[in-house]
Amino acid sequence: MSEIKVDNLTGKTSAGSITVTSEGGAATQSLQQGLAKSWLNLNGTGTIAARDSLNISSIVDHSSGRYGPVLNSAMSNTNYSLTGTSNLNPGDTFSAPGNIIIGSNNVIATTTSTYEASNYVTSYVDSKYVFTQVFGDLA
Amino acid sequence: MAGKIIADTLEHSTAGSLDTSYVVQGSAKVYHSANDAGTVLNGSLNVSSLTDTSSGQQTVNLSASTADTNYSVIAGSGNKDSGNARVMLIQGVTSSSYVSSAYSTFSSTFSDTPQCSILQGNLA
Repeated sequence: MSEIKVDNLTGKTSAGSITVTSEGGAATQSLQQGLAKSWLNLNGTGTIAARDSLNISSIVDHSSGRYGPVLNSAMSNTNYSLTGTSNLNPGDTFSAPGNIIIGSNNVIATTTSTYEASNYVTSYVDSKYVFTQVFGDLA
Repeated sequence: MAGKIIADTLEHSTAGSLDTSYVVQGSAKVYHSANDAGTVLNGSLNVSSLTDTSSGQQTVNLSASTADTNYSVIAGSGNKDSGNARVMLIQGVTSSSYVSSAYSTFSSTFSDTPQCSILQGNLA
């Protein structure tokens, strides 16, 4: 088995693009664009805290059930893709986990460095488990 | 296992480079796409089997375990029963499985629907 140990990968023709061949061999895709640029497992109750994350520097507790993850490395624009899901563990009341709503005021991504993720049932409610993932281009 | 690498070059650079932590930590470790009954795995990565736990609840069993239970899973539901809204939840998280669940806000019960999920996190 071969192994490469390297700290950084840079495209030769274009520094920000490394092309990989598809599993079927019929297509190519940018390695960078297929990678999640951020993900988060958040405890959104009490003093909110990330259990684990990628590219998250801090999280703003806007108000009950409304969270503002801040990216360590910003995105290149606000056109990135955000998704979110709640978790329900045995013993949790079903009233807490609800739809994870991404963005606010009809805008998905607020800025290149932060976004809003909200847990909504019939109102904004704190959720013990909030999962989010970000795909798009880093600056 | 034999390895084969075809590349023009690998360079270390501070300009326009992508830290390899994104390659390791930004790659999806699991995905699954299954039918509404949770009995047919249409497509998957790192899934050893799928269990139809109960109505609307599918247990995704992993081939390679995660390092811990602090991973992030997002899930989506397919369209069924005239598109009645479903809230997707992740339950029963362990390092070797999780339960993808679809809750119907129309019937106020867990309800079968095609499901998919993506896991980001660290493998053991």
